[in-house]
Amino acid sequence: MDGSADVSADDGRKPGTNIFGEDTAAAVTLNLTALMDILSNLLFFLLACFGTTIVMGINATVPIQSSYDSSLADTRQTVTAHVSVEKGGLDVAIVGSAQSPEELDRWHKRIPVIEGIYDYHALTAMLFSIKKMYPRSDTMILTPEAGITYETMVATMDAARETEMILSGTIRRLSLFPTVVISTVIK
Amino acid sequence: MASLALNLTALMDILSNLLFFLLASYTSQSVELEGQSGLRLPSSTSQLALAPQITITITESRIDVGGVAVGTIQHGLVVEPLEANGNVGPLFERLHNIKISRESAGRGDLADASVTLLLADKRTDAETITTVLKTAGRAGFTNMRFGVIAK
Repeated sequence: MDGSADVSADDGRKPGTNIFGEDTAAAVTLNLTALMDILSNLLFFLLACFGTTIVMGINATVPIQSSYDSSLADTRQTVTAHVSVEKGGLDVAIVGSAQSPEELDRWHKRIPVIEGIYDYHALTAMLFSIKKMYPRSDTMILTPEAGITYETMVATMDAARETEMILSGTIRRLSLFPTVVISTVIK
Repeated sequence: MASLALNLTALMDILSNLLFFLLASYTSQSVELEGQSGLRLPSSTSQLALAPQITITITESRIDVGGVAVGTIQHGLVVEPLEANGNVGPLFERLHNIKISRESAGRGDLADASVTLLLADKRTDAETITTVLKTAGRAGFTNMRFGVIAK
């Protein structure tokens, strides 16, 4: 070893200096305790809020009596589904002005309550069949009987809104009857 | 005893990411559901986000519009006698006044001018729902958004 004691062996620099021979800055240790406290408090508050209910919406309208043209489905590919929610079951029918009464009657079906439970899968399947036959349809008139709960109304609208089907190996959502009219006539 | 310095950089990164995510989620929830006794919303698969609107609330015991009581509920049905045309009188008056004040303020033609948000207890009778809808429709609010809990 031919160098002095304060020169490093490999590059000839003094210990504690950079490549330009300048003294390196002293290491600074930040005290993050206060910041950690604030962040943790905020985090727990926001986590608590995040766990609360997320409210979504379902659109619905009420019909208005007017002197304008009827908004009833009026093309071959369009019908309006009519679902009556009764204590004994779901009554499904379709209305349209471009179809014959016999054709419309063929789609009239009653889906009974089984052991106190409404068969929403059958309703979705029925509405899917209607949608396949009349693909431009999107409106459902919902008529709930007195004594039916609001929860049942919402479940019926859910069953009628869309269905899942497998297309080319992927699950896709197919819109059925997303436009809901609650059956009450405004005079 | 030598002091021990923990390297908190990674933890700070995680906390910061979580914080920003939760802050964003918190601000995107535009409708705040205040805790009310006797109000349990039904759950639904709907993915439609809500915007702040005039809110009609039907709990187990009362109907209110924007926090102002306009009717009483018992066993899921409206207690007060309905008007001859089937309206809930105080509800119609309140909504009608709101409609008039909006129109006089030049906000009658806005896209959501005829929309109200209905938050109803899931055990409410359908007859009450249709009565409230009918009354709201007569007052000029023909479009309704049902508030539901996301499944």
